[in-house]
Amino acid sequence: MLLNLSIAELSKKISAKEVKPSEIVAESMKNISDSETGIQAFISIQDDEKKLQPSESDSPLFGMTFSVKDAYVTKDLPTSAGSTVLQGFRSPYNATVIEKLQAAGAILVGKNSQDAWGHGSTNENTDVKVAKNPWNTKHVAGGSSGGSAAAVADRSVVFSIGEDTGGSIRNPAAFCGVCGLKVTYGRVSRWGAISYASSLDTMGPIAKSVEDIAYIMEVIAGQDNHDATSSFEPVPKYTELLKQDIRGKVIGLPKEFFAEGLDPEVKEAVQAAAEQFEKLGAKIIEVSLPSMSYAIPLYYLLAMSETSSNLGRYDGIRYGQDRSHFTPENMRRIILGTFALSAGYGDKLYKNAQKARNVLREEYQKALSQCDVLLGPVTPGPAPKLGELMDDPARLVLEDLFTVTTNPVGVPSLAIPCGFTKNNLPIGMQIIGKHFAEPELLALGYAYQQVTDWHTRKPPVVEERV
Amino acid sequence: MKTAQLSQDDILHLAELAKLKLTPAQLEKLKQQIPSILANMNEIGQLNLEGISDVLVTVPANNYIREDVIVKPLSQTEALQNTQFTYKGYIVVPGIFAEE
Repeated sequence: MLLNLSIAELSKKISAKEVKPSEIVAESMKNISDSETGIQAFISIQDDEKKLQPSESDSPLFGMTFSVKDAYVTKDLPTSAGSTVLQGFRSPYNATVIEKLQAAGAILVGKNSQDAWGHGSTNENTDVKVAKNPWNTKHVAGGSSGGSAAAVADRSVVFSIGEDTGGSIRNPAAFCGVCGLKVTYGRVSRWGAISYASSLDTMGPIAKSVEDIAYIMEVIAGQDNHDATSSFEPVPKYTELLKQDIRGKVIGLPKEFFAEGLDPEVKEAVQAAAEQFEKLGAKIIEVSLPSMSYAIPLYYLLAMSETSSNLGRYDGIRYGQDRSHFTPENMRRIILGTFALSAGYGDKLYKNAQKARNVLREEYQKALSQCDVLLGPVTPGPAPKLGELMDDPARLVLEDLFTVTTNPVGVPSLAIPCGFTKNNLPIGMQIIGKHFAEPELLALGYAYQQVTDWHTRKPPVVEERV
Repeated sequence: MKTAQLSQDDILHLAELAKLKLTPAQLEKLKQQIPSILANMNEIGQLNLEGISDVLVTVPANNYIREDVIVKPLSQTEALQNTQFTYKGYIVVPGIFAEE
């Protein structure tokens, strides 16, 4: 199957005229259609032949099929953000990420299931389709970019683009056994990505390997006049920096990431990965992020406040339907966010959360001055069963415990597979670095993937297809 | 410091501010779920935040002025393509001061 190959391998075959882009498209379409009733990773699919032709380009992404979370606006396909509020909406313009990928010759084949407006970590809070985990369809794919991770894991696309506000790329990547990068805030343009919480939102790739992620980053990263928060920091040649020497790198394990509540199988897998890095020449030390216990209230206060403001624009007048179409989870977040910003309580809640954000930022700076990167689990456990967390908002937010602290401080984090539970569900770890340290994270991930095979394992549904 | 709490009237008032109409079932569920979330949110008050700024720059950056280049804007048709409420090329909005 072509879609088991890496971007570099596929690109080589295209250059040698051994494979045509249309063959990759045909395989994607077949796999999407096979998974339509089971995994349900797609909300919309491109069926117009003319739109499935790549633009001329000499980029390594030429001819690669990709999908995006349905939070990116696209001219060629509808955009729902997983919500019926946007039913019937067709954007008159493309998100910057879409423009860049299409100009590089990548082919958009469809858009992925997600929690409505990004509000969730299981994909179940949606009005459209709930993506299931390709490793076991009784389990969730994760969220909110669950459809994107499921689509990569079940080989429906070469790669996908997700969006991470508090873990929405890393959580589903970990649950589905694929790789996902939460970039430094401002590294990739947010233009045309529907805002959840504007000071936390980041756009990034989900792919089968760290090497693939490097190829995608070279195309999507960079300053954009449409997004004033996009960075002028030069875009490095990520693919060339992949093979840099990682010997002597100091990896910090934040002790709060390994405390009570972490599933023993996950803990064991991440510790084994740390030992693997030691064998590769890295040094492991223990560090601390003491304010981790405040991570959840801090994140939720900021995210709910910002989302209550961002979702205020959906009035059903200029586009979409009226506000009665928000899901109960959306309404809960809007009401609590409105409260956190309201007169009399704003100082106690929102402003305190902003102050706590500065505390967290200093703690991250301190930890990252003692080591080069931090290593920890992505989620407290493997993918939960469908329905398990739906009526338990307090437990649902704990799924985000290890991912939410990176977004308020803007640092990048790479999630990659590092093992499996005895029930054959993937386990993920994350490597967190300083601002704009993506090349370092990718080099560490790449070195790890040269000596391990977790990322090459395929879900049963893919094995059966071959 | 008094911890923030929400009564049924508060929830209804906030919903009104956010232009959300809650069904009785939705209100009931929120009344059940909100206290535990608020208790969690209130924990932020336990941190010692004295002397800490509430102004934050996530990633340090400089301001730049871009070149003033004229680009083609969306056409009127494109801008109106998603609304059913139009009148002579304008968008019709509900009355603000008068009843509908």
